[in-house]
Amino acid sequence: MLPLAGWSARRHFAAEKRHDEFVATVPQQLRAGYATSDRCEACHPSQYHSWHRGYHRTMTQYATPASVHADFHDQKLHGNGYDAHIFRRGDDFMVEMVDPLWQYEVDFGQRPPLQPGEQPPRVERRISMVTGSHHMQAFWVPSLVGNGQLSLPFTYLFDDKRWVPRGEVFLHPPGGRHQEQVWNVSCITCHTTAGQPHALVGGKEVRSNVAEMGIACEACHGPADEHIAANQNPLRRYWLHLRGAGDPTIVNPARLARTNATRASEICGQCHSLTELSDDIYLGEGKRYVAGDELETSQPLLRQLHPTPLLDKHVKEDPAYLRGYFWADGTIRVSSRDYTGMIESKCNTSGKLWCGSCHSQHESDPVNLLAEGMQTDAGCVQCHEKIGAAVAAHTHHKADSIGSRCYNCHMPYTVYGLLKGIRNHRIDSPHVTGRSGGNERPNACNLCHVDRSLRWTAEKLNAWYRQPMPAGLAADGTPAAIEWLLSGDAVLRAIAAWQFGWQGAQQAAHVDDAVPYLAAALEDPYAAVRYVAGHALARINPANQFDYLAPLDERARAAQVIMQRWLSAHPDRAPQAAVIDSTIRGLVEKRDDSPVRAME
Amino acid sequence: MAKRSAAAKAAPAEKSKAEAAAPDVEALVRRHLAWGWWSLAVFTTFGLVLEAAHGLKLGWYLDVSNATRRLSFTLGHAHGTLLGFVNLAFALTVPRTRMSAVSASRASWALRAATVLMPLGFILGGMAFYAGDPGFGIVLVPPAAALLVVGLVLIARGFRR
Repeated sequence: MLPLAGWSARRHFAAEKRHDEFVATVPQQLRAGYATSDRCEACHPSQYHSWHRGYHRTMTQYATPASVHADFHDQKLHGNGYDAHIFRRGDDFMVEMVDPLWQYEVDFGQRPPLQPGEQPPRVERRISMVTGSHHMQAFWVPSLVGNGQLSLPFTYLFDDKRWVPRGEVFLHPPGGRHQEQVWNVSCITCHTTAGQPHALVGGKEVRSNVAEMGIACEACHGPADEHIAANQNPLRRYWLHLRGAGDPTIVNPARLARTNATRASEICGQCHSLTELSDDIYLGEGKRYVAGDELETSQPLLRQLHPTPLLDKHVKEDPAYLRGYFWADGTIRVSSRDYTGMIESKCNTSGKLWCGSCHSQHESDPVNLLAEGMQTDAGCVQCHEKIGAAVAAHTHHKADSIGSRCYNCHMPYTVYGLLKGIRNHRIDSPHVTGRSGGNERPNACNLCHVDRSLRWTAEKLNAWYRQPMPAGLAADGTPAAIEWLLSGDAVLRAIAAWQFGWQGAQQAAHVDDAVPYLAAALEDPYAAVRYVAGHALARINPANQFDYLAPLDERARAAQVIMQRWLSAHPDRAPQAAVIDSTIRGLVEKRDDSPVRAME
Repeated sequence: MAKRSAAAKAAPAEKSKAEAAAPDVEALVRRHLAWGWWSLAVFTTFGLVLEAAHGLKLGWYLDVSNATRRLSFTLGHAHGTLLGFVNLAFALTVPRTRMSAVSASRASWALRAATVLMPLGFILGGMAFYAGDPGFGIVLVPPAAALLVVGLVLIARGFRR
């Protein structure tokens, strides 16, 4: 018995020591004034539950069997100049890889690159944290310098059930190696609640802490310690219930919106916007903003349509800065910046629109957070009742068709992120300018009618809404979406490719006709564009399978197979093959190859 | 009862101090047996309703957003049933107490008031509520609890040596 007890005690203490050592290498949930969601649940069970099932909560989690959904069954991963061996050890998720700190120092010029014959140092580490739970999961590895966290160079895609090099899930210029990322100075700002990077402590050493992992109650309601202490008094609580006037010790965005819609929207805007982040936010104490504050006092907005010296500074430092975020007309075009889009909308500047007009964290579907009843036109007809009463007269489409759904014309999928198209929150009306391609924002009509030309759209808008006909529109009838797919800049190409797989376009147009052009897009230099085009082809015909990361010759073969399948299904098109081929060549020649890095 | 009233009418002045202090045990027993059994009947029926709500998966009762209602109703059911047993216990043990008529009457009144107010407070509190707080009906519960304590103390004192 005695040896058994001794063995058991030794095992127990060893496990405890290992756990303590690990905890010291990972940011902890500890910030004065914040209570964490566990304490909110007791009094707000419904709100806690609706938040708990959503994706804000799981934006960053400690890596546990409950939080990790990627395949960790002893896999050897290669690509983009990286390799790693990932596996499980009990409940721990492990990786054997090049020392991420060494890699970081090489990537950022703090250490000379390898000399011929040298081997990079390799380490075995326990994966500490996971980002995301909806479309993909990225993983973090302790640097062992303080509690710094560096990126695992591979990301798991849920739809595809596969690991891919981390750089290949972003729309970045081809050929570049994805550099090591430091979680503590980039993700912590918006992927946690009240994170504090503390990256300046002890020189390089990082000592980050957060109020809570993921985006929890106090991100939107403010620190809750005072609120909890005050409401331990039941008389106070019932007095507040009786008055129905809200509690001044906590922020309720919906209540705030009644008196100040801008302040309420800024609660979402603290993360869903493009703002200037000071060094103190990036490296020091983190965001000073708490719910209910005026956002711009600590995080000035960066808007192409309202330039400031801060924006000018960024543009001076990086001439491609604006292209990474905005369409040429100043509309935001990358994901997670919806607030930046919304505040350029007339509905917001001249109306009553705020985020909560359509969205709700608590009474909503967890995917888009659209409030109950807001999935259709309800959001818009709150104000535009007359249009809602005679929608077909306004849209010139059948009332029950997708062409009569407000969102499809006024909030088309012109934002790129997460390898897909996302609805733009700059709410405006479709129009055709004389400019197209490059980084010109595509119009909503041609994103649905992907088989129609710009001239066709301009004529319709002129006839229905008296919009002036722009000069210089080609009369060759080439569908605008096809032009964008092959001639636009990388973001426009990705957005155009995505539309062909969207059910709206599939209802409104013969998307099957676009297969040869989508097959041509499989040779796009940007991996993200190839990914989106490949998935659009699979949506048109599930037999169309394509690996966007395969070697060039393999991709070309896959494109040929797709083309042959299409030709055999459409023998009548065979005579046009040469014309199609020539059109493709012409469009690809015009392609805007300006380097683009979508800053999603 | 008729006999007792007649005797009281015939010789009110002769009523001894000891007689005045003696509770009408038979009446008390019958009253609390009735209260006890009726409480059990009502609140076990209510329990049946709650079980049906589980069986039929009624969101009005089971949804996470209605956790406060569920807790309040459960407490109403449990307290009502328990107080039924307390009434029965009082009825069965009161013949052996040495309580004065005044004390017995007060204990009986307190017990009966608690039997009504406490489950009612919980049930009303669960009908309309504020997130984690039950509705205003819950204000009935603290006085009911105080009355129950008073009643129990009076009964306990009746068993002193």
